[in-house]
Amino acid sequence: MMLETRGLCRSFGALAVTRNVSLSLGRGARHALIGPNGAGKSTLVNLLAGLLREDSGEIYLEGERINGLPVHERVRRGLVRTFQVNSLFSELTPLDAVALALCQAQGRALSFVNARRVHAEAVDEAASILEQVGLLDQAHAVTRHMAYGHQRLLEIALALACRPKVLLLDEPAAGVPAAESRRLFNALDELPETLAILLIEHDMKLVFRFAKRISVLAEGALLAEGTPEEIANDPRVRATYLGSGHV
Amino acid sequence: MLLFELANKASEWTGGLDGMLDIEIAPLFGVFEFDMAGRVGYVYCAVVLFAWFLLARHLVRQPFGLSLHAVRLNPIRARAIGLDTAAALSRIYVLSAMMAGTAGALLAQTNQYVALDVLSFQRSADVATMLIIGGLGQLYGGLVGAGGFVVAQDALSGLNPEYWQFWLGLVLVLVVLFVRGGVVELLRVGYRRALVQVRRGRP
Repeated sequence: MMLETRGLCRSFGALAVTRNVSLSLGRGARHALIGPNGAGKSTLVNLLAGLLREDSGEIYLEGERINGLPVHERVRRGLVRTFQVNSLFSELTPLDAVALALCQAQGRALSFVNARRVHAEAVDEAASILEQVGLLDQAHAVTRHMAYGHQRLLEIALALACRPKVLLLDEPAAGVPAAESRRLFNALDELPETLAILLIEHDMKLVFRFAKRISVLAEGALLAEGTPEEIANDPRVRATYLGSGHV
Repeated sequence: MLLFELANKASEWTGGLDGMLDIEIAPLFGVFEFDMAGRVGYVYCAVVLFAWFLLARHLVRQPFGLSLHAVRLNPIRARAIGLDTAAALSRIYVLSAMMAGTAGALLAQTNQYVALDVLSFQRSADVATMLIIGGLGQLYGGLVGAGGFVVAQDALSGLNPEYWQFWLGLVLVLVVLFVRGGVVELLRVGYRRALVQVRRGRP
């Protein structure tokens, strides 16, 4: 298994936000996590990424327990995330930001040895990642001046530059105008096949197009898990979240 | 202020309020005596400053410089691309301390005297003012700010000897409110606009 959680729990005071969640993603997984607002999806992503500490339960990355590891250490081991609300380097250009992430992926971002050469190579590779997500024409723009949809794509480009083994995509389509969503969907389709992806998303069109397995979270606990077809036909899921539109 | 009081108490080492007197400084490289007019000291400080500036300029253009920029802009995202922000900060703090240490050594060497007011609140405030006016987080901010501060201090104290600090404070408030990147940013924006005007003016 690439990523596995066992009995993950997290409470804020008396409020249990994550309750005994066990998930597993194999190599190349296309797994979606859906659920109503407040179901605990983002908390779960923050627990996996290391931004929050779990109260109990275990997280394994490629069979290795990663509980307690700081965020940057998890990223170095290949567990990378994007953010639900854009969290970028507002004054850097996409090219600089992605090149920095590439330097870091090689463990060279804080090194002074051969720094110029490492940076020049990273810039070349950054350009090809930006091309992959359709952002090459924005490579030299200042990030805060870019359109929102382009910033969402930059989130994905930055995550790819970290050389992920498991990618947590936290609502990549949130706030993206319909005209730009095709570009985003194409970028998601182009992600490496070996990469295990956990997609958290409200856009059911995207979820059912992208995912091979879906887990449904409700009130912090897993309500159901299965193929898109099984989930679409699960009466509990339809009652809780989907309604009758996805039969 | 705590360090000031601590140094004042430790007068056996620091000389207390009298400062450290009677420091004997050998001629530079055994050849150049520090003269009363301060010419040797000036050139010496300028050369050391230039060397440090070149190093800073070199670092800013490396991934290390980009890392620091990233940590300043968005530390959560910096960690999310795998950067060890604590390691980045500790490295730059060490480098900054080396620069500050060099400045202190130059001051003692060229003045042959260290007053207690190097630890005063006023000195810290002056340095902070220089950086803010010049432009925080800008390579040239410190240089421009220090020069601008000295010129403004001289001009304002000439115009209004009693309340010149008020006017300097006003400049500081205006810079903080309206020009976050300081004078360097102001110059940069002015240059870009002028460039656009020139290009538009072309046939």
